[in-house]
Amino acid sequence: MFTALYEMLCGKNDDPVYASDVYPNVGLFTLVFAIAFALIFYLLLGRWKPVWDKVSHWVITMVILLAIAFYLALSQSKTATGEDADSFMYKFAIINSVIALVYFFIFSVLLKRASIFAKRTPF
Amino acid sequence: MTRNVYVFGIGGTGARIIRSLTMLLAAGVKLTDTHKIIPIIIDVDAKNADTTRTLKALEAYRLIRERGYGNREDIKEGFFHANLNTLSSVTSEISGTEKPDDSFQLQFENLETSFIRYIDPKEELAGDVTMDLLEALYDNTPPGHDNFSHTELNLRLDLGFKGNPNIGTVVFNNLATTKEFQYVLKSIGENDRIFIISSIFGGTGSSGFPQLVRLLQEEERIRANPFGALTVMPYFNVTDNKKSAINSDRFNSKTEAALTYYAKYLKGKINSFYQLWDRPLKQYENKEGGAEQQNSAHLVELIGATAVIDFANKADNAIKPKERTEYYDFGIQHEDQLIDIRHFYDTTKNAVLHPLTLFTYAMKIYLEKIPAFKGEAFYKELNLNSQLASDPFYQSLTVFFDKHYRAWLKEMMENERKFQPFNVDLDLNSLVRGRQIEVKKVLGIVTSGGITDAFLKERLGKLEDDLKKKIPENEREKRFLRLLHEIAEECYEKFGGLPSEVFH
Repeated sequence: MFTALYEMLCGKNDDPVYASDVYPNVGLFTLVFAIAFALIFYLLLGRWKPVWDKVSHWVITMVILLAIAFYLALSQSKTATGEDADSFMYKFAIINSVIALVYFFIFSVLLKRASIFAKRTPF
Repeated sequence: MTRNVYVFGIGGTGARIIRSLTMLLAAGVKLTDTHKIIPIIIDVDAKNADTTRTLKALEAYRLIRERGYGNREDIKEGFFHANLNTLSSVTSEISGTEKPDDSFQLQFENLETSFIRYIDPKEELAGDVTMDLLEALYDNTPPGHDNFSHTELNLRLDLGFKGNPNIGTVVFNNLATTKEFQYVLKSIGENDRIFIISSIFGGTGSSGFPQLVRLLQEEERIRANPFGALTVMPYFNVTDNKKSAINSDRFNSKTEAALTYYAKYLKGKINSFYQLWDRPLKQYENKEGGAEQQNSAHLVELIGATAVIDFANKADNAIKPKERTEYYDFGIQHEDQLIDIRHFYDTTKNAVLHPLTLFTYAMKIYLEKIPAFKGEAFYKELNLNSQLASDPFYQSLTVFFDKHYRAWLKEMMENERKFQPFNVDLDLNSLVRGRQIEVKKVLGIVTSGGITDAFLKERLGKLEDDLKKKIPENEREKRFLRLLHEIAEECYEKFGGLPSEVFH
């Protein structure tokens, strides 16, 4: 599923390790991170105290997630191929960040009503 | 069985005590088996500022209550839970009687004239022996004379009776002919109770009270209903002013004369008789009435309002028959120039001062804290962004807290004797006089800040979240009133109970 998604967005790479290892692992971890970040934001902190619940906090949380998604894609690509970073890897990392952004946005919409302090975040 | 309680407030003192009653009911002082409280202000002085102010507070209360709870009768606690309403709300239609205006005031008719023109509108008595008798009984100083302030026959009645019960008695006698009074008589039900508030040292109250009892009990159907009354004896003086018809040197003699009259003519007519007085410490400016007569709220008026609550909450079998009238006084633990919560006995603390404390917390939170919490989820969920400034419910709530309740508290704080239960200008940790919530620190770091903004934001958010599950979206105003009550309860819990002191 993740392979098909990334091949559609990034294009097919000649190195088979992308399809067999990188795409599935990065896809899965990006999804897990996005869920975890949303759960922490909306259910853990968002129901505990009004300390991390505003739009500015949501944007910072998302930026951290995007940075992690970017780093995850880049480091996984480098480790799996054993090569230095190239333009495809940066393109993949950027696209992975965008996918993380979409995940986080979707989980925000799904989870925000379960929050107490962040139920109106980001809108 | 639920009943309505008709509370008649006669004259300026009556209006001021109903003002205090409005504050107590807004604070959520509990009523037992009471469906509606119907305050009826009777004051001939149409422009009296005390009356006008009370009427405005009642109107604001009514709007808040209607928007918050509608006509529901099952609301037994919380701010504004008591159904305080107008006479015309009692029943939609009483056959054969024209429905009165939707007002808390009982209007007299034909008072826009002098006393003599009121008695003799067509000037038929000139030269008649009746006129000689009137001139013998009443002062007839003409306009323009140095002593015109003493005039009785030429006194304009729509400015009040200016301390002349002998005029009030004549005018009150005609109350029975007004359509509003006829409606009152027909609307009082079998189980309803009647309470009459008056002062004994003025003109309107002292003459109106016995007349009103008589007129009500002329109606056979309601003669057996429980009657309660509060008579307020002198608790303030007015400054000397030779041009004024009101002279406080006569307060005591008028009180004595009225008490003698009451003892004779009210015997067997009242079930529960509350009497209240205080050594006059304050000299009010001598204003004869109208828009200038705006006396500051006084502790005696607050205590007077508790008499209405006491009477309304009495079990049926606790009310003695009229032939064995029960008399009530009110005492505090210790005489002082400055009174606060510690001076009261536990019964009053629990029944009255606890709700007032909650309401004062709510006032501070509503006026000073909530507007600063615009970014919080509860604020957005309640749609306060668009409604706080423009919706009539919130506008009325703001007016009630700011212009009525806070002003009322401050007036009592500055009056003599001073009643200072709250430090309304200090922070929430120091709100209740006599004890404050301690801020705890360890190595300079605050470990417990008491009632802080962080505490309020957290609790308001969680309480609103809980309330949203119980109270539907279309009852948002009710949810807001509940929210205010619950956050006030939490502040009170942090405070840890009202202060007490043993006086020796």
